[in-house]
Parts: sequence; C-alpha cells; structure tokens
Amino acid sequence: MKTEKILGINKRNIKYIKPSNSKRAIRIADNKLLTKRVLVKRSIPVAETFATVKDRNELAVFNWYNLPKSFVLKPNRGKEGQGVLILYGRIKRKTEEEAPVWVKADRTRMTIPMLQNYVLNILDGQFSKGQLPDSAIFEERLKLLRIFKPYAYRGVPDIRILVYNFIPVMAELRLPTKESDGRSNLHLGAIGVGIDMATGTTTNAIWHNKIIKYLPDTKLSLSGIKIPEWKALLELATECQQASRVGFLGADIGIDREKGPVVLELNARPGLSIQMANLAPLEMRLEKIKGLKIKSIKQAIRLSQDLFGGQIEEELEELSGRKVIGIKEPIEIIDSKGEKYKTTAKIDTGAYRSSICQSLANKLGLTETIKYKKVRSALGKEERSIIDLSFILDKRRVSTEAFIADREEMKFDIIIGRKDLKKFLVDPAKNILLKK
Amino acid sequence: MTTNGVPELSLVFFLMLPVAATIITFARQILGIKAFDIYVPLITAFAFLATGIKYGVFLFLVIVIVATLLRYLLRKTRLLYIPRMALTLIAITICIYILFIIAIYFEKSGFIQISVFPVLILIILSERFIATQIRLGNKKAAVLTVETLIISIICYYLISWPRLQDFALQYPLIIIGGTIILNILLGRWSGLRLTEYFRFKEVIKRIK
Repeated sequence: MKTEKILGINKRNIKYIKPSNSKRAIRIADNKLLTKRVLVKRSIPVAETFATVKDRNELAVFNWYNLPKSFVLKPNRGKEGQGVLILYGRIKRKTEEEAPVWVKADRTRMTIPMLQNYVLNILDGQFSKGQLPDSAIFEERLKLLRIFKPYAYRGVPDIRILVYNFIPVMAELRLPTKESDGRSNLHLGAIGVGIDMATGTTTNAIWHNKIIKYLPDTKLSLSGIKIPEWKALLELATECQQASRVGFLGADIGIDREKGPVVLELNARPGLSIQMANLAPLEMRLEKIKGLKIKSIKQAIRLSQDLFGGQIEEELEELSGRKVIGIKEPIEIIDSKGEKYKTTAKIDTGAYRSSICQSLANKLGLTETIKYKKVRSALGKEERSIIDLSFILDKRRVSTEAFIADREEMKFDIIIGRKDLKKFLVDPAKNILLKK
Repeated sequence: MTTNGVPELSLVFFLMLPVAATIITFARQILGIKAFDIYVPLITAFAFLATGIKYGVFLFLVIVIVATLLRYLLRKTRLLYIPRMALTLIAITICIYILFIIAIYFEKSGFIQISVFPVLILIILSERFIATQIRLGNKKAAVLTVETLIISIICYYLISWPRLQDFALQYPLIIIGGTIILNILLGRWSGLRLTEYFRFKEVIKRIK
C-alpha cells in the first residue's frame, strides 16, 4: 500500500522512538546543557554559552552588562522552540554605565526588567515539559552566512538532518520568517525546504503545510539553493548520533559565517513534516537501511548520498527529457542470438564512436564487419573494423555502429562514445561507487 | 454490589470511565484528534454529566473566553506566570458569580441548582487553556480547545446513554475486559492517523 511508505506519528513512536531511543539518550537530547557537554566531549562544535541562570539567587546577582550585543535566550528543557527569545541587537548607549536595551527580531525592545521577568518565567517552568522548574541559557547567536541572507528573516536558518542507524536519511533547511520571530521551527511559521541528500541542493518548500515555490512576498526561488559544506554537515549529524546514542535522531545544525557548521540542538522526537518539505516518504528510506552494518562515518555518508540522493536528477530528467548517467554504467549488449549480456561500460564523451573489445565481440558472435575506418589515436594511425551493435543503457535501447578494438589491457570491455549519448546527460559524480 | 448499598449512579460512573477513556484513545490514535491529553476531555465530559450538556457547554465557553480576554489584559502588566494565572482564576470566579446572580434574577432554576464541583473543575481547567496559549500560540490552542470540546461532548453523549449504562450494569466485566483489549490494540496500531492522510496528501500523491 502506498501510505505504508509514509511515517506517521504512531509508527514513529512504536517502531522507531521506543526501540531506538533509550531513556538515557532522551535525557541527553531534552536537556540542552547536557547535550552540549556530551557533544563537546567528542569535540563536536556547538553554539557558545555565555551564561546560565539556574535559580532565583543566580538571577538576582546576574550581571546584565556583560551580555553581548546580540544573543539567544533559551529555556534548558524547552521543546520545539518554545520559549526561545532572539535578541537581535542592542540600542546604542552614550556610556558604558547606561542600562543596555536589546531589540527583538520584530523590532520591539527588551529592557533588563523585561528580560528578568522572562527568565523568571523560564525558571518557573513555563516552557518546560510538565512545567517543572528549569534553567535559562544565554547563548551565542550565529552570524548569518551571506548566501542565506536573502532567505532568512532576522534569525539564522538551520538544517535539520534525520539520522537513523548512523546514516543521514532526510534533511530539511528551515528558514525563519517574520511570523516565526526569527525562530526556525515549522509550526511557529518557519519555512521548510527539502534537500537532495547527494548534492545538498534544495528541492521543494513548504510553509504552513502547503507547497510554495518562492519565498513569500518575493520572487526568490526556494529550490536550487546550494548548501555549503554539505558533506561536513552530514558527517556532523552522524557524529551527533554516535555521541548521544539517540538512535532516531533529528540533529539541528546551523552554519556560522566564521566558525562553520555548529550543532544547535538534538531531537529525540523529530517531527514528520520533513516528509512534506522533501515530498518524499520516510518509512521507505528507513526500511532500506534497517539493520545495515556501518563501519565508518565515510561509508555512512556515501550510503546516504547514494541511496537518498537523486531528487535533483529526477527533476533534470523531467525537464530535459534525457536520462542522467554516470561515468560507469551497467549495460546489456545484445548478442548475435538476441540474448542480453550484462557488463559495465565506460561512458567516454571524448570518443566519437563506441568501441567494443575484440574478445568480447567474438564471444558474443558479433563478428560481421560492415566497413573499415582509419582512425588516429594516441598510438598513431590504424585501421579498425566497424560492426553493428545494439545495447541497452539505462532502460533505453541504442542501435549503432561500433569499432572493434583490442581492449585486452583495459579495465572496461566497452566504451560508449558521444555519438550514442545524445539521449543522455553525463554526470561524473554519479555511480562513483559502482564497481567494475 | 448495588445490593450491598453501593449507589447505582456511582457504579455507572465507575464503569463509564474506561469507556470514555477508550473513546479518547481512539480519537487520538486512529483519528488524530489531539485535544488536551486524556485528563482534560475526560474530566470535562464528567463535569458535563453533572451540569447537563446545555449549561456545561455554556460554562465551558464562558470560561475559555474570559480566560483568553484576561490573558490579553494581563499581558501588559508583566506579572509572573503563577500570580497571573491566579488572577485569571479569580476573574473567572467573579464572572460565574455574576452569572448566578443573573440566573436568580431571571429565575433560571436549572442553572442555580448546578452543583459546585463540576463548575470548579471547569474553572480550574482554564489554566490548561492559558498555558497552551502561551506555549503554542493562539491558533493551536484554539484548535486544541475545540477538539477537546468536541471529544468531551461525544464522550458525554456516550456515557449518559441509558442503554449503555444498563448494559454496563448488567455486564460490567464485558465493559472492563473490552476496553482493556481495545486499548492494547490501539496502543499497537502503527498505521496512519486519519488527519495524517490529509497532512501528507501531497507526499502520498507522489509515491510511485
């Protein structure tokens, strides 16, 4: 059934969170200070903490004058972005002694008494689960990357990467809007943008659970944004899982203009609208990697890019009407009896005509020379015979004329030249894992 | 038990609790109607049972509206959370008090005779509505409140249904055993919730 490929809340809880996320792991993810401690131990970069306030006594002696121009105030146990306050800047003062006043993303002002009040509410547990007493964290606000500038309203976008079995499964760029008050949580009004796992390029976007093409009120396309340091982000997400042992993990990673990727938060109950942003079902992907043995981070990232990439490719294929192929492609050659012989071909856009190895041609009974042609190659001039050849490449049948060549010493029995590649686009980054 | 002096009504209430709880589980696991967990809709349904549905829903709405208004009024005072909540509860109590005076004036005996406990419960529940408004925003809180009201009304009609009450008194074990089995099955159900079919409509469309 189609709908079984989608991950719903019930299945997420029963099949993934219960068995994969231990109590200890959830405790780490739910406590931001503890998360930081665990990650720092593994030298994973996290956002800097300026100060913490654990109780009213600490608040009473808190020195507000030491806070920088901009910072983020968070409840330690707040979930889904609840209670996160972003102070965007500070109003100019005449002297250092003058009481500082900060500005929120929506340009309203926050004075020290207002912030004290806000911290008191955090301490009273207004944003924590079960309204238990909580602590407040003053954290660095990341510096916005230039390429994100046109897309993010005030706050800093972050990248949610879902990791299961150490393999990044799906990712989403979250853009803060005016409505979300600089925060990047979807249910607070941020925009979710799907990401192609292979290339780190954005695909579709959703806002309030509806598909959008452009950034609201602008003509900026939300697809095709290239996320910098994509591989590093994927590796970071996997490392977060290794460090926290949250088996079904949503890692939120920001990119700082100077520091590069920084882990912001870990989520032991990641939301499911990531499927909407990517217009792709999660359960299908999770099923693919269940029980795979992962030996290294590099392998995990390769698997992720190979298995879950390709959305961009599909779009390209739809637009151009051509198939995207890599440098090494599986191919089926039709022999003299009409039967298919499977092998791997090298796609060579430097050659005009395709060539097949003498010995393979003999084996398949493709021996009838139809003409000869003189060719110039790196080895000098020679005369080669040409035969009729039919093969199937990426489900398309191609009938052509090919050279017979002595390729005994070569890695591939057959190369496909550009004469036969008119219906394809060649992407050298595809199928790099395919073994000869 | 009834022969030994346990009032029949208490017994009915006891037996209806698992039924109402199961309805709420069903609404959440299969339909995807969240409401405020299990406690709020459950206790609201029983409060309705004591006040009658007409006055119950009326009080519910009055309390939610007054609490929301108060939240806006008190926002500018920058009071802390707990005192602000206490002030809200006091304001609601005053409103209910005024309603009683109006009821006496218009001789609405049905309203005057409402027992005090269900009214108190409804007032106290307003804390949850306000807390949710602060945490999740007005829109989401409004959706949850409406969902709670709907589920509570459904539960109310089911548990006040005389046929079901008679059945429960006759076969209490079937009610208890049945609800246990149903809840275990619902707790294992891993299919999509009804609301998720709408939520993921676009994704379902694109699955090959």
